[in-house]
Amino acid sequence: MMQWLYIHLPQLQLDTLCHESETSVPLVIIDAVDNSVVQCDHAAKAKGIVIGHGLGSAAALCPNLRVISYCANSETSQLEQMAQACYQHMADIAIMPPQGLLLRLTPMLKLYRDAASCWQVIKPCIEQVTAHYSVALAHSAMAAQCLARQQAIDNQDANVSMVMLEHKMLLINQQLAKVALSTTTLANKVIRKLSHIGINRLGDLLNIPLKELAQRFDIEVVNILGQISGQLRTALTFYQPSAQFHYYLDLHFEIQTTIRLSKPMGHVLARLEQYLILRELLASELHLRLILRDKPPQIIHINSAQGEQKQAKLLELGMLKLERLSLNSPVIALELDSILLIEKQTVSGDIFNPSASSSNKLSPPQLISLLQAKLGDGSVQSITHHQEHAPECANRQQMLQLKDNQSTQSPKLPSLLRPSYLLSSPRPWHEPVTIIHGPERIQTHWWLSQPIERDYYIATNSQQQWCWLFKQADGQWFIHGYFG
Amino acid sequence: MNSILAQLHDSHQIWHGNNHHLISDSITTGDTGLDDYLHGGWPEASVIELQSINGIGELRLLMPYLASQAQSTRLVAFIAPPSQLGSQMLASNELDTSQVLVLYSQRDNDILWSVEQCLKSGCVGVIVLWHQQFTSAQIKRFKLAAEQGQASLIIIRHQPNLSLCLPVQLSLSLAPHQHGLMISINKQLGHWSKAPYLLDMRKQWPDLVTPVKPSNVIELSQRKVG
Repeated sequence: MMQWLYIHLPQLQLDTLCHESETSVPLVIIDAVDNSVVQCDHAAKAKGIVIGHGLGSAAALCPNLRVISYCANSETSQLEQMAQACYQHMADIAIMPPQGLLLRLTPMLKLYRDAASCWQVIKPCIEQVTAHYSVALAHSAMAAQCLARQQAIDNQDANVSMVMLEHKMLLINQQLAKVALSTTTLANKVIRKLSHIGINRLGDLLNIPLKELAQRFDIEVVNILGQISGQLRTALTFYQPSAQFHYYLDLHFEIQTTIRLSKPMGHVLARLEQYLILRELLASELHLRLILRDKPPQIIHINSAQGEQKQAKLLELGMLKLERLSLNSPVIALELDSILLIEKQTVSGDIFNPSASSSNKLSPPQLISLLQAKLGDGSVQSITHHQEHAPECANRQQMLQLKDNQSTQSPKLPSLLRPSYLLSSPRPWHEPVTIIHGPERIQTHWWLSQPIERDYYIATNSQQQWCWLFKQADGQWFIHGYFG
Repeated sequence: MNSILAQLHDSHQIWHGNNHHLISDSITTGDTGLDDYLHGGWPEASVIELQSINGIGELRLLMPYLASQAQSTRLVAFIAPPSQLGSQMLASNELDTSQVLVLYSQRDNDILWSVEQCLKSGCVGVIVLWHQQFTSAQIKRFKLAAEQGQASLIIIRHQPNLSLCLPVQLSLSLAPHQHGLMISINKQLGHWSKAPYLLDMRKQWPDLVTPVKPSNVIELSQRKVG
């Protein structure tokens, strides 16, 4: 017989919102469809607000109420994140939107002794996100769901539900019989009909064989009841972890200055660090999406040439990028996606030279990533040489590419006398100079778009600077560099 | 020793002129005469100031030092150079261009920040910086970072504010000379000042020194340009 564990999270949205800071201002979450309170925090409960109240009566009970509209999508994405955490311990996890996680325990019992020890493993993953949950164990997926929901209504403690785990089949059936019909997935219309004929508890229906039920009710009711009793199978799609990291965080407050983003970003990156450590990966490229109010989101690319795992290092890189950014509009949410994850490669340090392998040392790729994050990619350059005659083409400073850094062996260059400072474009020259060497003619191919024909001279000017001058065919003089 | 003197000594209130152990290891400049003049060469892991205009041979003076750093697989960083740097010139001095990093920034703060990061990183051997204005606090900070990362910082600037003496380990003035460079010490930690030294570049850079005309040549009028 299968064993199913269902975790019901009645106030998931509220708990994820309040994760950062606990405030004393009462907070309720309102379902926009019928304007009723669906989740409320302790402060609101203390004021007398109960789930099911209308917005008007809630506002009447508490004038300084903070109201947030209910969003099923955010709860579902939160569930996915929880499933991601639980997947480290459990193979079969089904997400039951919007407020439940279903675990199939039977295959995992080979690894864990019994259901209670399974729960012990899963518990920290759940409690990391929310303290309000109810758990139930049953022989079918839907029965577990009904039991967990019933417990949430009965306000049973999590410890009590722990005891539930130990219960045997008989006790589970007893509990199931007491479950109110409103907690099942039956349509409201059917529940109302049943209550008219005096059926309020699940036990009244489960005693009737399926065949008889089929004669009296439509196929949907039979399906649901069959699934609860375990006679029919429930179609489930189990969670498959994605190959890339994704995390979405709703902010409690709107943030207008980038420096304040460091706290929530640290939270997101701590999740990423956990994810990376478990998989022995390094983050090389991340996209941080800042979701703005009334404006299209801004995307930041966090790059690390070597790849980073530590939250602190990634946060440093991210904050350097953020410093250079101006926010168009307040940030309301953060979304982090990993684009490129690379395998971690351990480099063993030099044991005889401790200074060379000290922990605070950076490797060249790390330093370059840091500088690129602060100054911008274009400001960090490398010098390359090309086999060309025209000095503009021979010398090129370009954006640093780390990949070909190790392999290319610079070819042996002809030892020509060339200046160390090369002006980006030649400037007209009018002052008197003393010519020391020259001319050296540089002429490019006639088929090029801008052929050059120059006679280069080395000369000193009045300040004794060594200049590299040239004379064009039309007799004009230009300076092109200095010998430093 | 007198107990009051001992107390003062222990609290570092007395400065001893004769037993100054400030001289750290030094690296050769590539010229034995200059090594003697600088008491061993360039000081290691320190901040060095060169007061010089650009284009008189200041990079030629540094080249042997930079090349030796690049050979030891550490990076050489050029920060905020006045123009592009010529790759042929660097390569012909055996400076591996794949070890060279060039940084630019419009903002002074970003430049100073990157200098400190490079110094601290431990993977950069030497940094050549073109920047004019500093405060003493900034130089002190660079010195600490240089010690941490075992890197050297060479500052090239041409408008020294004479009233303000920066707390660098070594400060040199460079002046052009027909045979090379005239080097004089403005300040060297732990040493007295000396008469200027002439770095003769005639052997190494025969094309970049003013040729001496034989005394029997009568000079014609100078060629005018422009």
